[in-house]
Amino acid sequence: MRSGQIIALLVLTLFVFGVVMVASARLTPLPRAEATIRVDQDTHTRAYIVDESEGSPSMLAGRRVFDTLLGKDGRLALLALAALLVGAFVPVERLASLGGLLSPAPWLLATIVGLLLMTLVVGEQAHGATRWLRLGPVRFQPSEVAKWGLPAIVAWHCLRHADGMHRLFTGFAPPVVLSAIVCVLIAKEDLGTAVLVMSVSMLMVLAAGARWWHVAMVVPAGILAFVGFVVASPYRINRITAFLEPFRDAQDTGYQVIQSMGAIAGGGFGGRGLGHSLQKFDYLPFDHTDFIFAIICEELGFFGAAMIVAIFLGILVCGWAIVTGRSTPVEPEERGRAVPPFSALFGFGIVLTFGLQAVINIAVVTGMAPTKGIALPLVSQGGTGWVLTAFSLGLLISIDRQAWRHWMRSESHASRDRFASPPAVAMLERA
Amino acid sequence: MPDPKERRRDRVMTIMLGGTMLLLLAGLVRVMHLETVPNDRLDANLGRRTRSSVDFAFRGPILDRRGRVLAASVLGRDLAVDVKVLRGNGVDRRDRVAQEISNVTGLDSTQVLDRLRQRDDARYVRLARAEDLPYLEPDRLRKLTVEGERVRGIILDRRPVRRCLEDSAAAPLIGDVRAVEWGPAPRELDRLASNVTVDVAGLRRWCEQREIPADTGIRAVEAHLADVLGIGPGEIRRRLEDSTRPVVLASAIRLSPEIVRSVRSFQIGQRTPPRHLLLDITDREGLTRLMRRYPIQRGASGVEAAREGILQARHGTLKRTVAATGDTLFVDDGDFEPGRDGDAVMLTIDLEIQRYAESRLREAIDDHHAVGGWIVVADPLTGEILAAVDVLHNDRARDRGGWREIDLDPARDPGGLGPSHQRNRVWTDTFEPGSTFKALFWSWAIDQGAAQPDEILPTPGGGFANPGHVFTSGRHRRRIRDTYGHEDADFRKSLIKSLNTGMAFVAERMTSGQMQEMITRFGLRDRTGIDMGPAEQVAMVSSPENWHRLYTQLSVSFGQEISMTPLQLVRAFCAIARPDGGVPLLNLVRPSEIQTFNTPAPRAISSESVRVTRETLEQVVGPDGTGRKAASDRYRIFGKSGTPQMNRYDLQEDGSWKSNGHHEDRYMPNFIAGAPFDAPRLIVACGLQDPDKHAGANLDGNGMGYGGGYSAGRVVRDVIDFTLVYLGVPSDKTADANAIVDAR
Repeated sequence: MRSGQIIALLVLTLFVFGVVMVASARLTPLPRAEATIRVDQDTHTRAYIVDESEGSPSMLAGRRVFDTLLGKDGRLALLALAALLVGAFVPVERLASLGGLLSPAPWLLATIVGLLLMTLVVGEQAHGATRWLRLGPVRFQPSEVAKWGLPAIVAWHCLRHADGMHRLFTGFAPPVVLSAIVCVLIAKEDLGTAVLVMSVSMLMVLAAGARWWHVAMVVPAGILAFVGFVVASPYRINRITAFLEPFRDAQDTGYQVIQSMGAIAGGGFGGRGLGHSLQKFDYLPFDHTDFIFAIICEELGFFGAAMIVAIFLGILVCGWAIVTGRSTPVEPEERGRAVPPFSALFGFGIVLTFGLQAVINIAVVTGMAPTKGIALPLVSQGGTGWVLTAFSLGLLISIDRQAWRHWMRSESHASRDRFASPPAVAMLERA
Repeated sequence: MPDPKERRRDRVMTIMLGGTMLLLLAGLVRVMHLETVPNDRLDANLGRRTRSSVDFAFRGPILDRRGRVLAASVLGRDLAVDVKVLRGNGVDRRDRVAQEISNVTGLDSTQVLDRLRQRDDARYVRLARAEDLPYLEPDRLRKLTVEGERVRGIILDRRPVRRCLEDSAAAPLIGDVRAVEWGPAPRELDRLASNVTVDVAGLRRWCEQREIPADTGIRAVEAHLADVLGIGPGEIRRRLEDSTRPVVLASAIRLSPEIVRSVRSFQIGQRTPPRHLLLDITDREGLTRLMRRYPIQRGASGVEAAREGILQARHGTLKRTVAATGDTLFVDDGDFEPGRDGDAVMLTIDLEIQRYAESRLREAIDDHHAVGGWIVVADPLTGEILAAVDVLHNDRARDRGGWREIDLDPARDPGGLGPSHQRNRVWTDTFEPGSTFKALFWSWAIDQGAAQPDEILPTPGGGFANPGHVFTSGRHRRRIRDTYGHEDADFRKSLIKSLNTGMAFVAERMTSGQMQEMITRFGLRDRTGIDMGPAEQVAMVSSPENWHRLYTQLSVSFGQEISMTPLQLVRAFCAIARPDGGVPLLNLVRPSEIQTFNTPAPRAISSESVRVTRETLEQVVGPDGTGRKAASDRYRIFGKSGTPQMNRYDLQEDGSWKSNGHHEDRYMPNFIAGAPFDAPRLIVACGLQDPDKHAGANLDGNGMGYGGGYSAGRVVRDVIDFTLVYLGVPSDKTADANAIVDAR
């Protein structure tokens, strides 16, 4: 099985898992559930009460299944799968090779910057941050677009200046400065995503040929910028403080991380069982979005956590195999040419974004990093995130398909040269 | 050969993605760490996920013999107010709220306002206890408005309260539960850390009080603990042996709730020893917390205290797992422990008889300017007590017609709140019966063949100024006088005229063993069987070693030098009222099964002696007897009067009382009688304490009103008439019962 196909299966698995877990995390107590056992102090009677208006328990269960599979989250998951499919058929390399006005990279950059600027002006506020933009019926986070779009722009630049990437000003600086500008626009409302995007850009540039000391030189500036953004916002200082000393103010700044760790600890090794989380009932904020991993741990225990991590590792391994040419059965010395440079670098950016996002999210949820608004990819509930992540992974699958097609073509030529046997060529082409 | 650039790219990508994968695995390790390593700080800061509430259970009701409710527990509400809320928003609403609360509850508005104004910075001020608000309408209080605005800050805290039938004459008998103990449910207690600590001395006392051999009880405890704790029985015995202080056998650290529960529920002879004799709760903080949560009513006196085990309720608990909003999510298995209401106790008391007996007794107390009195109505065949009333006026300023108060009287303590508070003297206090006891002695002497009814005795004559007779024993001489001397009266007349000398002549012939056996056979050395706790007294009389032939022997024959409780007197008199001459055990609480008509009882005297004694006692109530005022127009009554002098007590410096002979002019007149004559259904005994002895005082104006036949005898007669008519017993005389009742 090809790596791309494995990624598709793993993404499908994650979506099913994500939809179920989000549905579980969004469970709310039934209205008047306190009537399950009612002890009437005046008449001194006890009664088990089932509210007729809520229907019978079996009907309730049926409705829950229906809501889970075909509710809003289910529909979004289907949309994201469609995006994965579309992405898998996008001719990445051909688009990258277009030049002039047809080149998509400048347009993409303009779109990202434009959307981020629009967010600053007409963005919608949610949970205290103005990250959202509404275009007609569609409401999305431009930072998500930037997160998945910027690797394409960086890769495009690196391809254009492949020979000069070891130079500071003509190779290294332009994509870094560009990324920094985009990140500054993001960081105002979403520092976590900005850090993620900047990190991915830097590592992409490094992979493209930039020198290590170039990167090392920029790191202090990045740290300074990070500190500046933290100092500028009191709530970010609180988050850092809560990370360092969560129990100092357990009911305020440390509340979220304590509740998150409490969810994981409460589930224990075996978990409370699917649907049996307690923390999701308003104890843990953002339980179905950024902190869904805590609920998974609480309900499914170590097994659930290991399963999620295994799926992420699977996607990372497959992605690594694709971008390094190990996906196709080429000779080791041919691997570097199995995937075109743009595809390799862009794919690396996608895999790295996906992986680092998962790492940051898990680190935050388990109390190893300060709280950030970073979702667990393909699991945390979120329309923009699901669709764009799936589309990006679709592009990765497309890169793999192109690599396989290239290998088969080259393989068929080689066979023809070796055997000149039409049936054998036909067989290979069919394969 | 691969391009170096491509090789570098491959290497960077591998390192970066490999590092990312390692970080992911680190996250998984962290998850495992959180899941498996306990973190006390985390647990402490997470907050509670459950809410507990009390499922109130109610103490069992107390019913009379016909099922009428005498006492029952209901849900009451303490009323409190949050003063801060009343003074909120800069508007002080206390005046108007006090007025409105007063209108709804009936509380005094001035007092309410005073309470609200005691402290301006107070939060919760209790205005009234649930016991003081029997007719509270909670909804009216909750919807209270002042100037069209809903009043907030009114708190109604629910808890069970005990209500006694307000006009219940049985109230003193039922006792009190106002001493509210706050205790947790047993299950909650089991969860508290407890040492297994055996109080051997306490266990011995507990066993002895329940007539369980103490050694057997201790051995049972040793065997059970050895089994539960896994310690050898020999080791346990060695540690408990000769211990005067409680011994810790196992510390709380190694005890599970199951072990604690097993120890707590351990029984000796189907009775569970009190928890503190085997377990010592070490989690004091937890105990304090629990104690605040559960109000438990406990009986403080009377039936409420004596039947605590039956009446006691056990509150249940409901532990709900809740969302952060407080909405209930679910109730886990085992988190709902329903409360258990106490069982009902049905008394043998009949409320109607009790009411009448009390009102008649109070009437007599008022008529005779007495301090108090008692009355007992019992069925001699079943031993059931139909009424038992004890009245004592503690108000020393009460008008007693000029009859001065006794300065020192241990039965009356200032304010009525001392040792005698809630004491029911019918079974807790003994008294010297005086001549009333002659009926028992007379029947015993006949039964023993010590005298014949018609046998002439050398009693001295001389009327009121009789010189009496000097009895001798060895070098001892003793003069015994009669109130009114009748010369050479026979033994029957001695009883009818209540001659002390007549009794003494017969007692002189009997051995001390015979006299002492009389006391035993009439059940005076035993408790009556009502099982009302350790406060019940038995007769006091000289021990065989101190028995004096001239003093004790002769005095006992006419009811002196012996004291007993009114219930004991009634029980002994049952022998004369029963055809078999038996002495039944008395009952105050009906057993679960239907009582047989005639309860078997140890025989005191023969049936023939019963017949002769009853005939003689009927003549006591006849025209020539001392109890002639007790004669009924409706029923043939047989009875005996007594007018003993009151015992005198002196208060010592250490606060104790010391007996000091008798008062010269203070009496405890009493009367006991049975009816109807042929098949007695009732025994009624009545006593009055310190009636007015002024010449011309009382009903007859002849200075004799303090006599047992005059004062208590009339009460007994009226109560017998009322009760027998009430019970539907036909008259054994010619007068129409209804006419009698109507006439009264």
